[in-house]
Amino acid sequence: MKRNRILIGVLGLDQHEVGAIGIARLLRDAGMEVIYTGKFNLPANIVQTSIQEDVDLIGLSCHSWEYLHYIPELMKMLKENHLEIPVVIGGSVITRKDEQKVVSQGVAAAFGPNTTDGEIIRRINSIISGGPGEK
Amino acid sequence: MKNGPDTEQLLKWIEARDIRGLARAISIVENDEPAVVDLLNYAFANVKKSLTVGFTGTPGSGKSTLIDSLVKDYRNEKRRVGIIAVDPSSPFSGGSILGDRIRMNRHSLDPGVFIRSLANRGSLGGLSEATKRVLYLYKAFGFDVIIVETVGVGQDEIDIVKYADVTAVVLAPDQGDNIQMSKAGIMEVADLFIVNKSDKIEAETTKRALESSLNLLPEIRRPPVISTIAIKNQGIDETLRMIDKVSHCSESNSLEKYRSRIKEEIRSSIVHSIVQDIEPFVEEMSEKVLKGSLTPMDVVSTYRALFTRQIKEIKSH
Repeated sequence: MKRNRILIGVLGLDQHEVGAIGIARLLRDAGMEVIYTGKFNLPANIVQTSIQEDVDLIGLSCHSWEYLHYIPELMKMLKENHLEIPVVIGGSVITRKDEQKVVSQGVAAAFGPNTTDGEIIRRINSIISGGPGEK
Repeated sequence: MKNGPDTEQLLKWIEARDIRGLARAISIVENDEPAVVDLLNYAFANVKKSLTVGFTGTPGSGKSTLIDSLVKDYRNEKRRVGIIAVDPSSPFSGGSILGDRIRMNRHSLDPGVFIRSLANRGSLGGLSEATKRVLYLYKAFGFDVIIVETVGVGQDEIDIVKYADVTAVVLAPDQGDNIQMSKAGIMEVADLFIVNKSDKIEAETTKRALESSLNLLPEIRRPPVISTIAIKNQGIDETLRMIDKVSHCSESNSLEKYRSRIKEEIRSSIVHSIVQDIEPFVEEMSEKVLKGSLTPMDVVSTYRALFTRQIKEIKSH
């Protein structure tokens, strides 16, 4: 029986792990398998981990500026490795403007402040099954 | 929705030691996708020489940190390492947080280290079918050392012994209870005991209690006890040497062990298959039991009668 495998991690020197842990629990309670990679991740190791773990989705928990810096590199590496793994980001610091920016760079969805648990799960399931990541 | 490469491509990748093949094959055998039969048959026919080490012990004993340090030493010796890290699935949601590899993050960019996290998906009665299948894939892919890190509760502590060349039990002194020591079976079948977090005051007491329990075994069968402080990389080299030593000693009865492992594999694979096949039957019969027309034992008799009749029909052809 297949279960969705989601990589959850925090980028660069962002110290805020509580959100990532919260999301990991949310996804587990929704029946998904979470590959939790904690802090200090860079695009290179996210890509390698995603290959080894054959993940269905990459979720980055963002509470600092790192994602703006690293997303283009991550998307480029995924493409170079012929990986069609959708990337989503989530966090309280994500503004509408950031959301538009990362979506234009290929990110499937950005979950900013006020996103509900239900919405996160619904949209992640939709993205994995090939549907739109829209609200 | 991911549209995977076909089996032929996967086998080509596995033969060329391209991790994409291994990673995708693991998903297929874990999820019982149709290609599972071809993949496992290929794996069985292409098993390469490797050392399989099982690590078990309760959560919090420091298994992952210990393995992380050990992997560093293996890599210094240019040995390629494949790790299977098993974590429990939630009995309520069926989901899981697979957090073992976080302690091994420094190896994530080393092409000589492959780590896969598996959720045990409810298998408390021994190693999950998926873990055993993935182990075959690893052996066919080719690693010098394969490390299986198990959940460390229930029967899987004993089960791993059948599938690993060397089984190490990791204990931490702050776990307090000596119930761990007397847990049926593990004392007699483990090849090596590791007392981790040895900088704690209770470590000495734990080690002595462990050694006195083990002294009840005849000397020739007494497994060694090593003290480590994984987080400070102490005792790791000794652990590596001891694992190698133990694996060479156990080579003499390896044929016996292999025979009993094959039997065990066949048994568990068939049971796994039966459990899936009988689900509709179970559903139907449950209704009858709930209505009061049958007892659970009646259901078993019905099943066995059906099964016997089918076997007779097969034999008569």
